[in-house]
Amino acid sequence: MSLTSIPDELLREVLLYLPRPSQNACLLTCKAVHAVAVPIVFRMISISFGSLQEHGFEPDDVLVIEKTLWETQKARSIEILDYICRNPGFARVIQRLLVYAYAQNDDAPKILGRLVTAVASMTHLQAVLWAGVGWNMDPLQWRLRLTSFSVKSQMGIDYATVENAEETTAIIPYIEKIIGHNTETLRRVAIPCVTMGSIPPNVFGRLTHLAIWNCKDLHHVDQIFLHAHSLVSLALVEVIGPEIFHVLRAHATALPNLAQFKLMILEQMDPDEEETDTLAIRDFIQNRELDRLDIDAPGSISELILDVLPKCERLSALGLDARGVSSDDDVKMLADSIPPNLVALHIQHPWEGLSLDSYELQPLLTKYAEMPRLRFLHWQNPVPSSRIIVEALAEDIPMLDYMGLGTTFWRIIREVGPDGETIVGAERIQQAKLMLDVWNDDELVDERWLLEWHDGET
Amino acid sequence: MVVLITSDDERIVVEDDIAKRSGLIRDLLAAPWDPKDGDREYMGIELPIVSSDVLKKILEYCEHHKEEPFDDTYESEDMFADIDEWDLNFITADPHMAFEIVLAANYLEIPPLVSLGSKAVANMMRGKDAEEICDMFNIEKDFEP
Repeated sequence: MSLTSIPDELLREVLLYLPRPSQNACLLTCKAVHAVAVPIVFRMISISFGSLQEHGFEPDDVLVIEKTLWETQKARSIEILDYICRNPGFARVIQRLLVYAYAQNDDAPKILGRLVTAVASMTHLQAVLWAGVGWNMDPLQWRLRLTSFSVKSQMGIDYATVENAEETTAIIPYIEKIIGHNTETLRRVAIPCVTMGSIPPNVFGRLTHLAIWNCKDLHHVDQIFLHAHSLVSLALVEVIGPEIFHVLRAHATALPNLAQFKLMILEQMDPDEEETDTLAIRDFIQNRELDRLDIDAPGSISELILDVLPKCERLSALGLDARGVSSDDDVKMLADSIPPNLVALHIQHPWEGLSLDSYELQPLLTKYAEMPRLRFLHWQNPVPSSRIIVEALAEDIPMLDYMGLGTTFWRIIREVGPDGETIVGAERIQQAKLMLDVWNDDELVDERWLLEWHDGET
Repeated sequence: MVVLITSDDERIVVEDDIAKRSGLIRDLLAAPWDPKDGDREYMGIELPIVSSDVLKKILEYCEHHKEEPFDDTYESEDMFADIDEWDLNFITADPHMAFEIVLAANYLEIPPLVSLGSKAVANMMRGKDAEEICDMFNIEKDFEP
């Protein structure tokens, strides 16, 4: 039987189970499969304005390589937008739009102009992620029925620098208008904290996913806990100041449906309040059916938090800032606490430059080898990042697909050798490439959640 | 008991509970039956697009899952959602029959089996380029970018 002899709705179901590269391959097979694959492949498009360096980042070897990648993405973005402008009917298949508008380069106005025209044709657009500084689109273009709207100032973990604060201030009016236009439909939102006031209380009640970044002033954060009863995912990112602990303590049992929680605090905890503040986090997360948890609060990871983790039986993605964990007993407790069925794990340690034989690492290495579903491990920074070390680690972790050591990332390659044995290899990939791979691969939801704090597109 | 008549005219007798895993058969059995039209069991249910080989495989699946509640709204978007080991062995035993099973399960309205079969077919396509997919599935490559 040929693939073309099955009904379109079944072919569509098959294609939906494929990762993006395989879907792309199907586009090039025959006209019948192409017709079914187009709405699937292009339901999400990603537009890039160019590389991060053009926004004033210091280029180093890694970034120079990444620049090439971003330049390729930029050229492809212009092609896609040109195609949509010439064929507006095609834009109807686009449901999710990702815009990486970091660079203010000579091509930015050209891309922006095409994007304004293209978006007007995207009549079925449901989700928008806008990342970057080039925010000067006419907000009237966004009179759509968005279910998901995410905006942030940089890709990945973001720090509330003065520069970003200015950018944030500049985009406030646009964010407020877009939320205002889409209050009936929005379910997933990622916005800077300062724009929280633009969400009416009744809209909070409909939200299922919310990420708040640049949390310097928590004035409106109470609204989440008081009104967002349907929330299943909450990320509070770039939190500054101790108020967050008062908020968590006051609402320890609020948000009963919460399954995903991320807390990223920028400052070291006050040593005098560390235990009390850690208890506030613990009380908030314990007794919840969490499947994803990321606690990036320097100083908070102690037995108070580790005690809770084994009870989180549904946990599939976990992020921990374990830089305060260094004694032998603490490391053993950490290893014992990590739930064995995780798919994705991001863990930070206080050590650097250890060898794989170091006794400090043995409890964790044993633990990783006992995790049958682990596909993504980002380990900061106990061992040097080298191909030999990555391959040695991946040999013991059967399902591992990606590994991050410090700030470098690797894709694991497994091939069958001449005698049927598995040969494990590792290929260095740039973080930006990893981000794009992860974003383009619907199977990597857990990894994406740890890499990206906003979860507006999943 | 229910008699199912396949496209190659084989009459297969099945317990009601097993046959009713199929939404199509469930609906047909629930429909009013006039005795003047003959003995219902003897008349059987014709399944003109399902061969006996495929139907036997599908009934094997239905038998295994007969205790489970009906799930007409079954949806799974996660390729890596845990697949029951029995299901995995069932669908991968003969990869080329997976196609036939998907098609027949769709006709018989057995959503979990459609999903399982679709995953198996998708798994056969993973990591292959356009040429390889064409070769594997007898597709005449008529698309030029």
